[in-house]
Amino acid sequence: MFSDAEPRRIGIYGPPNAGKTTLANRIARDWTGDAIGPESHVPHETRRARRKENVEIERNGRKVTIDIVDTPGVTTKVDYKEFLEHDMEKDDAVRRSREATEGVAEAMHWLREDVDGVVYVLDSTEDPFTQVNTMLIGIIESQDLPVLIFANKTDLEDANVQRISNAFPQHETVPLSALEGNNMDEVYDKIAEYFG
Amino acid sequence: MPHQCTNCGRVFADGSKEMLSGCPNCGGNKFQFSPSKGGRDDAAETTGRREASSSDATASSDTTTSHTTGASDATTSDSAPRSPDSTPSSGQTADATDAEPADETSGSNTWRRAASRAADAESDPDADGETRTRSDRADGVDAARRRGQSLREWANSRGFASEVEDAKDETTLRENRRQTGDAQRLPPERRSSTEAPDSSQPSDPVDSAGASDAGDPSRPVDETSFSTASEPPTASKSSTDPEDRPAERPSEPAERPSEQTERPSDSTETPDSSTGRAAPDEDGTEDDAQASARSDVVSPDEIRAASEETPPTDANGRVIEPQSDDRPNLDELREELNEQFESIKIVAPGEYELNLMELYDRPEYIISLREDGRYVIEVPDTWGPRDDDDR
Repeated sequence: MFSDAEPRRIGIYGPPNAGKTTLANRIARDWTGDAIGPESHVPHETRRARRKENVEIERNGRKVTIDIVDTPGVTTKVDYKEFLEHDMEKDDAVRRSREATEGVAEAMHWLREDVDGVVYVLDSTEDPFTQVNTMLIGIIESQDLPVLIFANKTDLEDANVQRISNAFPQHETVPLSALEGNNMDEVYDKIAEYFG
Repeated sequence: MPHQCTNCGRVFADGSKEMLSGCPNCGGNKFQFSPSKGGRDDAAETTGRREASSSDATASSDTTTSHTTGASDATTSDSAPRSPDSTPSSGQTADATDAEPADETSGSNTWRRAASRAADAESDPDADGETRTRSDRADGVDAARRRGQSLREWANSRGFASEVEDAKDETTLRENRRQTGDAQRLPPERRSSTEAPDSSQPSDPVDSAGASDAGDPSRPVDETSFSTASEPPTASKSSTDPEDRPAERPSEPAERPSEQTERPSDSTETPDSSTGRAAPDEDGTEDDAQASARSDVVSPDEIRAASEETPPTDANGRVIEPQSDDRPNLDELREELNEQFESIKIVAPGEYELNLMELYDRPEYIISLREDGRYVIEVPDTWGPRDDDDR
């Protein structure tokens, strides 16, 4: 049924280091057996959008096929010095910085051109009230794209899901730990519900 | 009883605010002032007093030089002589009283009352004032004559605008002004000295000025005084009043010149009066060069506005400052906007600032950056294959 139709392209968006790639990999592995990209604690590990097509998610006997687009973390400032803290040579840091910037540009571009829905991933240990979050959510809303807010990293002690749902009360917030695979059932339920 | 309604005779305490909106009894808005003490208080009182004999303000102000003519007539004819001489510090009072008759043609009575009252009041004052008054008076008279001359010259030979340039009389003008509106601000000694001459002037100036003219000069004086009177005479706000007055006066210079030119014969007083009033404008407000430049080009109204005492500078400053403020702001704004149109700003190698909205709005597909700041735009097709490669 849905496999015949054009799969909906779901962009995984969010600030750097929110766990977007971890989530993308978790979904891809769960439903295709492959990973999408390397995960890292170093911000801007994902500097190119990566797509996993035809991810079939089965919920309640019904199949939902989506394309998952893992996007670089979106930010308004990229500074190579940030990477120096992660035992990186300056040259590498500078290059990474440039690539990260390109990645943001690409993410923004895809948001405009090629996304049918958005999973917005936030680190629930961080303050969600940021310029980037506000702006991106605003753009998404202005596009009338279906959006789910994923409050990630609930496995961490200082995770505060409530703070996120308070920040964006107009959207559904789903707590999860992509790393630990916590609450993934609800994640898929919601994905099927929103993007199926 | 510093203040008394000239209509019903009701007395108001010094500094009373009751009379600010007219006499509560009869609604009259003319009050006379008789200082209870020496002239020290005059300054403050002048303002309050003004309403009564609003002429005071103007009187005291106008009185100073020009006004003298009209007032002096009254003085000469009536009891005034007494007051001038005896008026030590209360020179103003004398003026006020003097002025009043001029103001109210009907007011001969009032005036007399005032005069006598002033005389009474003067009795308190000390010998000090007297001596000063006299010596000052002499000076004042001379000054007045000089002034009259220069003014006459000016009135005859030049347009009003040129007066400003001419104002070598500056000092005289300034004097006038001080005596007039600013009198209140002056230190008591100064005040008494400046004013005293006026009161004294009646005797001499009258002659020189020509009593015949009295009628005319008095009229202008009245007008001004009335206008002042119409202002709420805030006894307590002595400081504000002086400003108000000058503000009004500014307009006069413009009008006055015409008067003068019309009747050059009257010159003595008219010029005087004109100086007395015109002076304030250019004087305190702006320097001569400014004034001349302004008066050449600018309408009386504008002059008036600009010549308000403190406001003038302020006003000017305000007008200018905002502009200067605006410019930088606009520039900043423009720069900021320009920056915002830049989707990616290379702050330094490896440091970037991104404009998400601009990036979002860009039609180009994928951007790759070069160190020199150039962008490379990739075509959409490369995206899919590469993705496949990643797999």
